[in-house]
Amino acid sequence: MRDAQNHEAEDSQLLAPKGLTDDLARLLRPGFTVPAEVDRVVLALGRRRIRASERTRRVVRWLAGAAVAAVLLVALWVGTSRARLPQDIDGSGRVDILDAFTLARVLDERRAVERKWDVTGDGKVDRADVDAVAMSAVRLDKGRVQ
Amino acid sequence: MRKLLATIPVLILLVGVAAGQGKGVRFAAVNVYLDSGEESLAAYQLELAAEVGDVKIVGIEGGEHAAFKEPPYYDPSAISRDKVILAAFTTGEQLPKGKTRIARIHVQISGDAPPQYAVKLNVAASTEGRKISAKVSVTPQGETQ
Amino acid sequence: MADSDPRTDEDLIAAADRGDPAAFETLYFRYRDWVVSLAWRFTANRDDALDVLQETFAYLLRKFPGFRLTASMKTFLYPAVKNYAIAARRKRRRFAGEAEVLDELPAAGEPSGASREELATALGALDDAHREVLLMRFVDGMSLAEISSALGIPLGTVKSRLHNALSKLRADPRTRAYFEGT
Repeated sequence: MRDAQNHEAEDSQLLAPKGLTDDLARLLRPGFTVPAEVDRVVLALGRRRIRASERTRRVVRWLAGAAVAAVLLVALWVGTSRARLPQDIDGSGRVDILDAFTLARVLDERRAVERKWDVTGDGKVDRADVDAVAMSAVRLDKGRVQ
Repeated sequence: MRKLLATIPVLILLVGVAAGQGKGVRFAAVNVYLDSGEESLAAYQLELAAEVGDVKIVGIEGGEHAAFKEPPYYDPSAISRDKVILAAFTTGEQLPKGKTRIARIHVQISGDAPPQYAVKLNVAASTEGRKISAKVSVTPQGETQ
Repeated sequence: MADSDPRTDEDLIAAADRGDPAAFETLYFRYRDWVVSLAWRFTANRDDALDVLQETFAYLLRKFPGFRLTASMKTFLYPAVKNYAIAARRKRRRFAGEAEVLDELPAAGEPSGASREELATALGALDDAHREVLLMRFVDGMSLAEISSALGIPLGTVKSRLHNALSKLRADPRTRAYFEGT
C-alpha cells in the first residue's frame, strides 16, 4: 500500500502546467509543411514496396507449405517419440526445480537412476547432477522457464 | 538574439544519452514470502523483476524456516541485474506451512523513483513433488544509504 | 489531413503486410507531421528534416513483409528518426560550418508565457537527457512507457529524468511563472 501511495504521489510531480506544454509545442513546431511532392515520393515507394512484399509473401507461403509437408514426412519416418532434455527428470516437458527435487528424492531413497540423468557427464548420477538440473532451471538467458 | 534563437533546435539536438544514474545510491532488502496455506511447502520456483526504478541485485539470502535457510538456487549472472529466478527444495521432514519468508534479496537502488517489483510463482510443491497452490508476495525493507 | 480511419496502427500494419498500400498511406499521414516535426527538432534544417522523413518511412517499408508492431508507432519510429537526423546533421556539418546549420530559425508562433528566448534558454540549461525526456513527454505526447522503450532505459530512469527537468524549470526564474498556482 505504501508503495502504491508513493507511486501516485510521484506521478503528480511528473505533470506539467498546460501553459508550459502549449508554449513548448509552439516553440518547437516547424514553420513549414511537407510539400506534396515529398508525399508523392513516399507513397509511390510505399505502393511499390507493399505490392512487392505481397508477391514475396505468396512465394514464402508456398515454400512454407512445402517445408511443412517435408517435416511431416521426416517425423513419420523417424517415429513419434521426441528427444527430451536430460534435465527433464520428471518428463513434464520443461526443466524446473521439480526436476531437481525429483532427482534428489530418487537419490535420497536410493532408487534406481537412469544413465541419462548424468547431466554433468562425470559417469555417475549424484548430488552434482541435482545441482546442475537446478541451475538449468534458474538460468536467466534460456527463455521461459515454464 | 538571432543566434540565440537559432540555437533552440541545436540545443534540443542533444545526442547525449546520459549515463544517467539518478542521485542517491542506496541499498535495501526485499523479502520474498510464500503462503502455502494448509499445505507443507517442499519446493518452489519463482521469478522476480524490478519493473520500476533503477535497481541492481547485489545479494541473495535464504529464508526464515530451517528448511529454506540456505540461499536458494539462482543464476549468478542475476547479480547486478534487475531480475532473478529463485528456486529451492528440501527433502527434509520439517516443512513450513502458511506464510513464510523464503528469501531476502538485497538490492542497490539509484535515482529518485521508488522501485516496484513484479513477482511470479512458477511452481510450488509439497512432498513427493506434488504441486500445490501458493501465494507469493514481496515486501521491501527500509533503505539505507 | 484528418485521419478518419478507425483502424489501429496494428491493424494498418497487418493490412499493409497483407499487401494493402492504402493502409500504408493512412499510416504515413497519421505520423508524417510528427516525424517531420521531430526530425526538424533534431536537424534544425528543413531540407534535412524532409530527407529524414523519407528515410524514416523507407525504413518502415523495408520491414515488410513480416512486420509485426510490438510497440507503439512512436516508440518504433523515434529511434529511427533520431538516428537519421543525427546522420544528416553530421553530414551537413562536414560540408558546411556550424553557422549554416544554425541559420534555420524556428518559425513557430510566440509562446504566451515566458518569451521565446526565456523558454529556449531555460530549456538549454537542462541536462541533455532530461530535456529529451521532457520533450518526448510534453511535445511528442509519448507515455512514460513509450519513452522507456524508445530510449531503451528503465521506466524509473524516465521518471527520474522527467522529475529533474520539471524541478529545474520550476526553479528557473525564467519559467517559474508557469508553475505558480499549481
